[in-house]
Amino acid sequence: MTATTAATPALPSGAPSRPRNVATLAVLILALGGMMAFAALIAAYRALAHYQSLPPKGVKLDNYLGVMTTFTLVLSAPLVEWAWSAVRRDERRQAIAALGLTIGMGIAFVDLDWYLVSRLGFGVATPYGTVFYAMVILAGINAGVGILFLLGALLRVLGGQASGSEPEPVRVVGWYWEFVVVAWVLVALTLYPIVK
Amino acid sequence: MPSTLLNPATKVFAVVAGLGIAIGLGFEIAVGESSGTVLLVAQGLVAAGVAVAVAALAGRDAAPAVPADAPPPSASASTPGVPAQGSMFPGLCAMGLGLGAVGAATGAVIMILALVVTGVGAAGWFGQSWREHPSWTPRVRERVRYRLLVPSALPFAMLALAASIAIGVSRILLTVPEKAAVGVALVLAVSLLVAFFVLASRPGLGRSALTALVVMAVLSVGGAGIAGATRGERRIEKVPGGPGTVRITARNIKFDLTEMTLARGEVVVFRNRDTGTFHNVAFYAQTPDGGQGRPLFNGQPIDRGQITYHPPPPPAGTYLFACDFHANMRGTLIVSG
Amino acid sequence: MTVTETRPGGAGVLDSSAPAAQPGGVRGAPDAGPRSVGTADHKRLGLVLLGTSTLLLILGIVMGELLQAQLAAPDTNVVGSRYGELLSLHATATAVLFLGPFWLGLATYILPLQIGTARLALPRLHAFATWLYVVGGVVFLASYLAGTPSHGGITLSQPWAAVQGLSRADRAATSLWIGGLFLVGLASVLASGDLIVTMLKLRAPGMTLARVPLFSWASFATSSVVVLATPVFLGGLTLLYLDQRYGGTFFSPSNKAGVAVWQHTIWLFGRPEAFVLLLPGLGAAGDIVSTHFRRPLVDLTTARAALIAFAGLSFAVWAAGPGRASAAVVLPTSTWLTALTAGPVAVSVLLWLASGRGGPLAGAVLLLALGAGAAIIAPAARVRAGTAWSTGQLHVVLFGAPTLLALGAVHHWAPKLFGRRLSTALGVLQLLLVLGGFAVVGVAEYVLGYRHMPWHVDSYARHSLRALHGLAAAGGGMVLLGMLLFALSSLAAAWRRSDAPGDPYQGMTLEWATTSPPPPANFDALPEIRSAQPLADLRAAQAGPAGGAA
Repeated sequence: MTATTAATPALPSGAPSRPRNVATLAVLILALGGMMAFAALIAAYRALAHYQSLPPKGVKLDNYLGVMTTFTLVLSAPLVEWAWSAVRRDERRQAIAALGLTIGMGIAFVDLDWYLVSRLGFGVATPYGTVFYAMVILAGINAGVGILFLLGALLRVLGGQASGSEPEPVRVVGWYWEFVVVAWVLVALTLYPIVK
Repeated sequence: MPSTLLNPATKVFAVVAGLGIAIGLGFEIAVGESSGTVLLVAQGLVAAGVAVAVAALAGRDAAPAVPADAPPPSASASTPGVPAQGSMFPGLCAMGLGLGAVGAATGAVIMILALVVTGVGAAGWFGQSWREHPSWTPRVRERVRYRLLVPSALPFAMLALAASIAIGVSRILLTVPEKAAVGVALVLAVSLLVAFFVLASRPGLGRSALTALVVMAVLSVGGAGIAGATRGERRIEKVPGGPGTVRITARNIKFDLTEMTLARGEVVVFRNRDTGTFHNVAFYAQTPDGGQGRPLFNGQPIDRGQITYHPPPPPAGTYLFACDFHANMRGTLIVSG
Repeated sequence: MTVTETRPGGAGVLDSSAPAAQPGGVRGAPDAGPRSVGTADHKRLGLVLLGTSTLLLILGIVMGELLQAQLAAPDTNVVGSRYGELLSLHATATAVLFLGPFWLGLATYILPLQIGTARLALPRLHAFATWLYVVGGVVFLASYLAGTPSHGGITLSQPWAAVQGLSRADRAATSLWIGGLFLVGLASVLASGDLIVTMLKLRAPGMTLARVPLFSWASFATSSVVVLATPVFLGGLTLLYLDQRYGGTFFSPSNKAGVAVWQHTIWLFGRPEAFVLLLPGLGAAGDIVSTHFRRPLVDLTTARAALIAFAGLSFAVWAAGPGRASAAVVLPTSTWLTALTAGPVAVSVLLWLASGRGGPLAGAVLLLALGAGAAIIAPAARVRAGTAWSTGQLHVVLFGAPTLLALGAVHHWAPKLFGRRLSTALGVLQLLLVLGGFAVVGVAEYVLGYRHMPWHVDSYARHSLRALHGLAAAGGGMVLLGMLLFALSSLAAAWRRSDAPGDPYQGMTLEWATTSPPPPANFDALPEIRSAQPLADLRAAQAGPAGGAA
């Protein structure tokens, strides 16, 4: 029996190797699914825009705030990629710096998001207000969850639990953060006349 | 032999992506309703993203080649891996979110409790997975405890203890009548003096006795504080009710005034009786057709209790006052000289 | 030649007479009791989902019977002004809180066994999702205790009414209702994502996707639909919450955009969700047929393609247009896209018939045929959606057929779930009660619909309809009795010592390659997988040389 088994090396044998990228694939699938929640809100905005001009009369959005908030978050995207690249190269200090900066940018975004909401001169009680607040608040909560994940990744790097041989914790968080960034960019492009 | 470059799951998602985008565009042409188009195209794009992720990360789907002269299949060719280790923290997090749903329906107190429970659950979840990592040896544990946890957690714990005692005691003092508050404060101060005198004079007091003492003190102060907070503060400052004050109340998503007259320099005392629902008082200019014009003053929203606004005095004239959260809550504001 | 090595005291891969997980037998099912709170074992989590959803179903059917009692005669008043509230609870508890989570629970238990892994990909996330579903269900039920959350129609079809002019208690109740549904939706997305990754990443060596059994494929397709569709519903619920909490006007009838958006959000979730409730049943049926007739389906690739096509078409139903989507659910012939869904179902049924036949499957096919017949006759008889005919169609096609398939699936996998086979005699009785009950309910409601009895009303004037309402109540009673019997026999099996052999049916797929119930790691050892029927291959290998020697 032993001899015949040895003669067929192509056959699977032994314990399965630990599958890689499980959490990465999961976070990608769930984050992409999460995009559909934002898509629903953007669709609601489009539906509203079908019947009235948006923003409605009397509402003037501060484009500067929208652009700065978007810039802040977009700049954090390469930072989190830098962290991932640094972890893969076992550049621990760089990874810590990159993750710290990403967290800083994330907190700045949440702060700007909060400031933006607090400065709005209109309330929730109009159709436009409902969609606007839903999008901005959901993006803020999303970023808050992302910051907690980033903190977890930072602790893993500090504690030596994420390194060149085991970079997945940072990759997973990186993908989630990219989801936060893309979701906000779509929200900002919908709400603010940035392109115009 | 079927292609192994793309596994069947990738192909399924790719087809869904293509169909989603095609149906979305068809929907736009046939129905012309943009929100439906957005959803269908988004679904196509998301499916395309999943297809790419699955192609990149799900791995090859090739079966090992079995030669024609291979021996019969073995009954025990591999093992299934190790079972999952349990944790109570995911359940705690779920309970926290459940409390969050209740808090979203009732008010801030349960929401804060929900945040605390979810936070404890999430921290425990992370901590457990941290401790399960192979790098977590007893030596590392000791190092982390003495270098990180004690120096950072101790100040936090002391701060939390001091804050909870201060907040608890302040709630008690704010609830009981004014004269009784002096008595309570004196009794507390004397009790503290006596307790610390006893502690200082009996250095042999055991650790468990000390812990029990602290827990009892925190529980009794905390319990009395919660009871005080629930009962509410006594009336401390006499709310100005004479000239110079306009009082307005929101109840059942309505203001009790439809017309408000405000003299220059007067303050607005706003009371919200719809506990758990945010209201505010805002002033707007009136457009020629009587509609809402540019904002002049937006009072801070509250979801309960009372707040005093000091609005910058607009010139004498007729304006609108409204709640920013509820379109139906509005009235006429007349500012006199 | 020792191709059937077994662990001492354990069940061998082909040892169909192996008694149980341990000598002497253990308590039947993996514990789904208090000790499950901290578990990440997919078997316990699956049982928690199965148990909770069955409880909610029974509650929903009891509500349904109370509603029928109200309609027993034109002048009866059993539930008073709470008819709408009970109708809402009945509809949501049975449609949203039962079938979807029930299939999710079965997939949570069976999928890892079928693909040969010891665990789920993200077991703690799955545990989180499981408890989120339980907590969400509790919050949802609590909303009916806090006030009346159903001002907006039985499934919030008129969101404006749920938003405006409510008392404080009813506003809090509506918020709880929205919150409970949000949690259940979030839980299903998270658990579905985990099932997708488990199937893609944790398959045993040699278990290619083409070799994965049909039930797992169906669960994969269902999970994909849930991940793509449910977040849209969550977005819609967020808008609704903001509107009802802060006095908004987004869903006001005057805002045409709000009406269109709500149609999209509720139907984009609701339509695929309603159709995919049948999807895992089609997969389970394929596995049941091939296991009990001891031969693979005649064309596995076509069967798999039919499942995926059905999942895809469930979206197409919505694309028929928001205005027609509400009719599409009860009148599948209302659009050609909706009618197309019958194609994959027919292909699946033909494949079962070509490969074998079975009790619950035949029952489900009968119900589907009854529904299809009614749908074909309806246009000729000028029956419109919005009559009792629609209720009959909902009960028979969207609920009866999948429920029957779900019961059949539990009976089939009972040795793995509970360590014991469920009583065949009681099983036949359950089949008769549930199938008969749904058929009676369906026929009574079809006839009521033909006689223009409107749906969702708490009274009627014509005494001539009394007998038909009585018949519908009797049918509902039969279903309730059948489900109670099912719950009790499952509980008894879980409570008693396990005695089922590891492979009682001479199965061909991996779940039969372990003890009943499986040990914590599911398998002591996995057989070599060279086809979609690894156990049949082993059996053939065993029989070959032995036969030759004989």
